[in-house]
Amino acid sequence: MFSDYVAMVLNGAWLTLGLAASALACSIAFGMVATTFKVSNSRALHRVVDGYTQVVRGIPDLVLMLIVFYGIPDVITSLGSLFGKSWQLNVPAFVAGSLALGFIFGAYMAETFRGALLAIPVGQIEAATAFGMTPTQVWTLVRLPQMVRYALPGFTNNWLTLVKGTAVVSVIGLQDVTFRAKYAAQATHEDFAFYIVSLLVYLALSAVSLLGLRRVSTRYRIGAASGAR
Amino acid sequence: MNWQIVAENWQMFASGLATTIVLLLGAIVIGLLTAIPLSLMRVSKSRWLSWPVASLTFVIRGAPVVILLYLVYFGLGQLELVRESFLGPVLANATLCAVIALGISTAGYTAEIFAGCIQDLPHGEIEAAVSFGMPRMKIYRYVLVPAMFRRALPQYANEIILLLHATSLVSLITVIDLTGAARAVSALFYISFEPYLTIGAIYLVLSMATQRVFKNLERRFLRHLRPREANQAAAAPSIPANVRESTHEQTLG
Amino acid sequence: MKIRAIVAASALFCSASYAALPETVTVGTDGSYVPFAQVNADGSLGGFEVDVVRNLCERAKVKCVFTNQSFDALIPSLQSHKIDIISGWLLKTPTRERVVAFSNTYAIVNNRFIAKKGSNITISPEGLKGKTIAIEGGSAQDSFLTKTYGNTVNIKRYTGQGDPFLDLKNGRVDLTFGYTVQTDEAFLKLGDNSKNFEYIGPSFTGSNDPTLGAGVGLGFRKDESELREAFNRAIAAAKADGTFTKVSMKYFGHDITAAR
Repeated sequence: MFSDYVAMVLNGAWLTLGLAASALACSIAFGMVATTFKVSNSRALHRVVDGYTQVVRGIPDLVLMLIVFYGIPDVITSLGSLFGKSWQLNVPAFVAGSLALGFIFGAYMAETFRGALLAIPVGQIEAATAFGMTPTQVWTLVRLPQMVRYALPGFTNNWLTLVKGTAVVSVIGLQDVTFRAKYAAQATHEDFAFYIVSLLVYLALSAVSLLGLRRVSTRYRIGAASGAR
Repeated sequence: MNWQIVAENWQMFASGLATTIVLLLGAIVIGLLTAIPLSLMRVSKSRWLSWPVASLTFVIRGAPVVILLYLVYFGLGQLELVRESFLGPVLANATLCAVIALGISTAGYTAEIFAGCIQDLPHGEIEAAVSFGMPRMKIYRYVLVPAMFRRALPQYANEIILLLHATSLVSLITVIDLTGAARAVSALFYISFEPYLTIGAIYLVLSMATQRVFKNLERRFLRHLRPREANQAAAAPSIPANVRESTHEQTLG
Repeated sequence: MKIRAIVAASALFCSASYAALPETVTVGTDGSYVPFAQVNADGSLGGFEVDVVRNLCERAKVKCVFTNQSFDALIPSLQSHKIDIISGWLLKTPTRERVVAFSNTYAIVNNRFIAKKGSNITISPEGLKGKTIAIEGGSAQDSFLTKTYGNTVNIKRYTGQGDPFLDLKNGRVDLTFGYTVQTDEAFLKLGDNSKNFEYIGPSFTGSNDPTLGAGVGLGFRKDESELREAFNRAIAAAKADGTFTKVSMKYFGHDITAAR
């Protein structure tokens, strides 16, 4: 019986990974947009990104998730009743979690991407432009591939923190590893055992991610000189 | 909108805010006190010291804060052995459990930050201290740790902000902090947007205040990294007029 | 006579065209209220109330999907349409009646305090002064305790029903309070808890204090009267043919829904 509950907790890892991947996609989207704003020449766009970063640094993950999951539907319903209509917005827990986490980690990704973009030697951009490449070609052929290499350490950190951040989504009812561990503990009264099991799952996810990203980083460093160039 | 419900229950929010600040400060103290020795062990040449600490920080940094909180409060509380021991009365108090769990979490990250900064220190300073005949403890106290703190300031500021975010999770182990107060109001009166937006704004203010504190600390302790100021340029001596003229003629000729 | 028949027929026709029951209905439960709702080893939901509601769904001819969430999230989830029915052993309290439309009652609940044997606590505001009590946050028992003893006793609110028992067992709190059938099954009957803990004080029901609710019912949104009526009919049918009694015997060995 106990081992069945352990299997149940382990199965939650799929949902944890799925949520983390979905939030990663959202965060890359938010981050890319923010980076392009930040490297542009518009002062106003700079301020927008600064405001974004401030909000993300200021509001804890759990609070943002509660606002997206409960608060926004609440507002929509109240607005609707103001106009005499019955509007409703049902944000599923998975979507609320992905959006909230994606929004938060988008700011961190923006910093990582910006640092990576700035690290690309300017001479390469100049050479590409001199060859007559359009800005889009410069982006896709010169900037993006090299950005990956420089962004990888920061990206790895963000990914690891994101995977751990998914544990908070258990509070809004998503049946991830943490949620399942809690309910297994309620059913069997073996709290310590199940929380250790869930800790091991997260550690395993961390270890696998680190190994995987190290391989990717080695591959992307082929041909690049190490050290400051 | 139901803002009056939030206003009527301001005491719950105020008490929650006080708890949040107490938790933050308590965790900072525990974190710093344990991180300094841990970081020194982490950079030690002896594998017996650095490996256990590296494994410990790997586990702590790999654990979500939610799991750490559950483990310390519910997990350890379930074990007879822990209950009977001297830790029993300490772990019986939920706030203390929260401070301990948060302290452990921040200690892990801070130790890694400090270890990284120690490795970045110019070795010359340590060599000079050794050649002066300073005993090891004196080197740590007067040379290594102050220099490490200086270098760690920006990263540590970030870590404190993340710790503030982590305190919002303690309502999961029955401690009523700012977020716990908002959840309680939400459950009692069936409103959500107003309490959560209110605490969002309060956390924003807390975060900006913390950033301001660290900016002032950086201004003081990282003074040597600031760009040169205007009055220093004006004070630079100017080249005498006749010398300039002659070089001018020479260049053109 | 004829006109009455025509009016009756058209009324039936109108209500029938409005009363298209949804095909699928989401039922929210609190999976920590063992054994009324609990998480089985394979992750599915089971328990007395879950089994009963599954039966009611068949009778009402709707497909029910069960979700598990914390108790204090049930009413907000109902309001924001995340779930359509609350099946959380929900007591019909006046505060809840304002935002939730209940089905007909299918059980009456009596609550008692549990404390360590020999603790000699008197159940009164003075007797509870300085004591700590563990309770599931958002429950009717929570509201009752806050209202009656909130000024003297120290109330700790938990997110699940299992955690208060854990903290009572490990001595973090002095008492807990709850429905005697649930506290029997989920705590006193386990291990040697009955040797160390006992009920103290009188029994409290909704007739002592309306905050404890006038019985248990399913929770619906106020504008979903057809769904509620369909389930009321199902409840009446299930009571009539002894389904409630049968499921109750399976879990508790006696009929907890019998009228008192």
